[in-house]
Amino acid sequence: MTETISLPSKKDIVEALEAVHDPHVPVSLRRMGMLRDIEIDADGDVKVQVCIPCMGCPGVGMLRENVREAVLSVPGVKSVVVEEGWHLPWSRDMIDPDVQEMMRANGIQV
Amino acid sequence: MATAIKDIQEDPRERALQEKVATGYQLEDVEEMTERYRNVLVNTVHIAADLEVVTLPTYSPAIKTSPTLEDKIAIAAACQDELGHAQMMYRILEDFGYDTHSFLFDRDPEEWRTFQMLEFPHEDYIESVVSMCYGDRAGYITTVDLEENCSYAPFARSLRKVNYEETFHVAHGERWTRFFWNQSESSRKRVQEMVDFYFPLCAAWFGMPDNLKTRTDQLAYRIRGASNDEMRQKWLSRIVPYSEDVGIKVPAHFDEEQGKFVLDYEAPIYLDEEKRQWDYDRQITWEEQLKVWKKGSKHKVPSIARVMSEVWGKELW
Repeated sequence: MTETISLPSKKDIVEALEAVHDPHVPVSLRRMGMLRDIEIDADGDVKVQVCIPCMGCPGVGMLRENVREAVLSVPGVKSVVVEEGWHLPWSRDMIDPDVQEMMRANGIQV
Repeated sequence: MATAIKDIQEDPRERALQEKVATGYQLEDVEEMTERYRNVLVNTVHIAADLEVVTLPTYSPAIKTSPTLEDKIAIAAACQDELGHAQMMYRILEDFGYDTHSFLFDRDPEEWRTFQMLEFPHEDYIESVVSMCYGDRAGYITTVDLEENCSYAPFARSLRKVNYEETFHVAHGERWTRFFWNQSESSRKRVQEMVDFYFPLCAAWFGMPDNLKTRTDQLAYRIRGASNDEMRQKWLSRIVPYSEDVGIKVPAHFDEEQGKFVLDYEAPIYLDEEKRQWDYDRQITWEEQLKVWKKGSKHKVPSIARVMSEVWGKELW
């Protein structure tokens, strides 16, 4: 009998990515407004597009690896491509309001 | 030490403040402080600020030899973070009459209070990531302890952001140390060489063993929550399993009988500064070790003088 693993849903990928934080703030990419797009094809190949707010981001290599590892841990995922959306606009209002409040309380200007 | 304890017993204000902070009370205002409290707090922040600044001459030489643009940015960004931490500490010191500009530029470099772990300019990127992995981890343990326990609330609060950033430095160091361990035979050799050099430096970051320590005001006034040995134990409990998992050899292990991590050598030991090599079999006295720490490495004074003579511009602060 062949074991069949169904394709992951976008929701599964988003949930897995909740464990991937901004390199400098302990908050998920989604809540920082950095998770932009997820595509899953019929073979289980996943493409994740993330937005990098800072042009000189020193954590981008680590971020890329963390996203890859998190998505690959989802059953049914065959491969992951992480697209760094350097061109995508990002502004501070894209951060969840409660995260903005937490950052201000901890001395980070937003 | 005997005199110090007597002083406290004779001054009811000092004792009252110690009892108050022992319950978890945090001070918000300089006016609430006693003289001894103020001295030990200012001393702690002063040393912390000096240690942040000296990361600049220590880490920055590796920018030149970092293999990729991303790596160069990572080192530059780490230096920028550390100077941001220093700036926050200077802001606190200004409440105690310090002048930031003169503190930075008018002091004799020999007067800077630095630790040996940050007195050797990095020769390459592998040295930097090993230093982040083992050394920033040690620094992070001390700043987290201050954030969680320091009885001066403005200092404790200011360290939350500092610790977010230190978490990144440590994670960066751990990731790239593991990467270079697995990359090639020569990079693995260099990682091990650097761990051999940094391990005793980082273990000594936490200072003398508790049973030999004579200054105890930091704990009595709850500027810090954990003792030197407790913090060293925390560091070992993270660093030893990490190293074993990667395959890196470290001179420490978990002792089943004692139920804790122990060093495989009897500190303090002799360091050949020129060769950057420790002689694990050659023990020195604590008196000799204190002299070495006080004098600093041969790089200390030139490194600080270099930072002071840079043309930074009038708008630096």
